[in-house]
Amino acid sequence: MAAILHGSARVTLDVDIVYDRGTPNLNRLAEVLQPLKPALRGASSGLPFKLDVTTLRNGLNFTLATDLGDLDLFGELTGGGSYNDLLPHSVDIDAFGVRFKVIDLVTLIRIKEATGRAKDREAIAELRVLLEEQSKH
Amino acid sequence: MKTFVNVTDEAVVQALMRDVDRTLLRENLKLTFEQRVQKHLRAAQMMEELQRAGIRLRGEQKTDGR
Repeated sequence: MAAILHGSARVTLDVDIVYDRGTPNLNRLAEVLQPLKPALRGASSGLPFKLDVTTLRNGLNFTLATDLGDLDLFGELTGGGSYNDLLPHSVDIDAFGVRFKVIDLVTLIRIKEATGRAKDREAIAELRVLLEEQSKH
Repeated sequence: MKTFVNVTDEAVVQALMRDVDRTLLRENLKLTFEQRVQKHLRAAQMMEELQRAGIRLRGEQKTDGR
């Protein structure tokens, strides 16, 4: 979604969030997500899972399916670090009546390069071109 | 910007950059953040609908014995 906000034309069907692992935020996150019936994506349907503060504290990264769609929660990102590490590399965006933080384009490219996944090559190419276009814009 | 350790990856990305449709990006950059998200949602909905249509079609072909 960060790429979309920066102007990417690629379609993505999930949302990635890097979250602050401080206790107050874990409480807020659990409270917001529980009504969306989060389940571990790809896990067998019988596997018990409850996304509460304890689960968030004991885990780090979660790939979830929710009533609103697929959601990935990252306590830490390869090439990016934690929420606090990424704060200086984020921009504030006002949209839909709220203000939220989005990873800046240069850092987004760096993170995708660091993951080294073959499927990200096209995305990296587009983001680099986007960076060139933004500088002209 | 060359940050890949893997030279092959870097060469692939450089080649892919030549094929990126800059007109799409320039159009997106003219939009507000909200408009970019709304445009993306419409594209995602269309993609999901096409996927569903494909699944329906394959199901029908199976029942027809095709």
